Amino acid sequence: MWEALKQLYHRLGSPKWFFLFGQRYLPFVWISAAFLILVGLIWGLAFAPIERLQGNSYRIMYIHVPAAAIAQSGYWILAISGLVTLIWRMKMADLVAKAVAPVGASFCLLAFLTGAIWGKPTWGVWFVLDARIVSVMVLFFLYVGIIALHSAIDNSKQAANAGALLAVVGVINLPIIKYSVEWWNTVHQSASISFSGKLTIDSSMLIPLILSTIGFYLLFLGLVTLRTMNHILTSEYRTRWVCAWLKGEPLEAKLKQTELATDKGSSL
Amino acid sequence: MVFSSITEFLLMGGQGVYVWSSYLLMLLVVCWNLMSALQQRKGIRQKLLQRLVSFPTNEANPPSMTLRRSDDDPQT
Repeated sequence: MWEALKQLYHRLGSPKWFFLFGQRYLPFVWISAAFLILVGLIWGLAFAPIERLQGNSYRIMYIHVPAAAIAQSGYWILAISGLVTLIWRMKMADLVAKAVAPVGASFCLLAFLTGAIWGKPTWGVWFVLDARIVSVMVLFFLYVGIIALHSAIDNSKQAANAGALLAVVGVINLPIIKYSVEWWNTVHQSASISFSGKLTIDSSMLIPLILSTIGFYLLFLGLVTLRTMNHILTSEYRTRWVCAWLKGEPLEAKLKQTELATDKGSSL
Repeated sequence: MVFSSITEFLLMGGQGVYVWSSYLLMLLVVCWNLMSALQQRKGIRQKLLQRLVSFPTNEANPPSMTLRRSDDDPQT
């Protein structure tokens, strides 16, 4: 188990391995993401029952909840890769952070806007100064700040460090988002799904939510992988395998070689 | 289906505006994400291909070796 994790860490740390791995598995990620999202959303829109109090507006949940979850998970990835950048100076961590930031920010904005739209028929207002809403706004501004740092600083190492530092410091916002609905009196409802305690959502509404959430997570994974691959190309443009890729030479066989090389523990 | 007709499905009991605008926003965000990532890939590919053309090379002498490493990413 430990060995496997260590191996994965080394492999993910190799830009070439990551690129080849992404190239091989991305199609499957896109297909399964599209399938799960379609099934989840159609189920949620047309087949899940009408909610007793909210009527149909609750169907916004099938995008609002995955978007909000992804916005937070994306930030966790930013913070962890920030930590890895600051401590171990791993190049891949910075490339992943650069890839996650715009995707996470877009999902954060989506969660925020769908929340506002959902708020109108449910609470009667688009926006209130509420702990949950404000903490998610802060999350969005953290994302924007990190993107700005990445693009404003010309020196790529300094940009990586500044972004990483902000990401690590901003992680304090995540528990605030999570517990904002419990610590303060908010209009936002508390979680309907938790690992401890019982579900406060019926399975006829929960199953499509789970499907769409997994689907959006896969989409997120695909988008981050695609963008990381782009950043790998820009940072590894001097290497032979990027030249081979540009010339359209098949790289598939090289994944095996790279695997063998990383198994032996040699760095690439 | 919990709705008896397509019209009813679209109206969503008067809440259609809220539901459909949310789904439209989701579509926009997903499309933006896909388009921008692919656009980025296309730009990088073209940039690197140009570099490959202006620095023709063989396996023994990759263009990388002839270039000074710059900290700026080649895209900008």
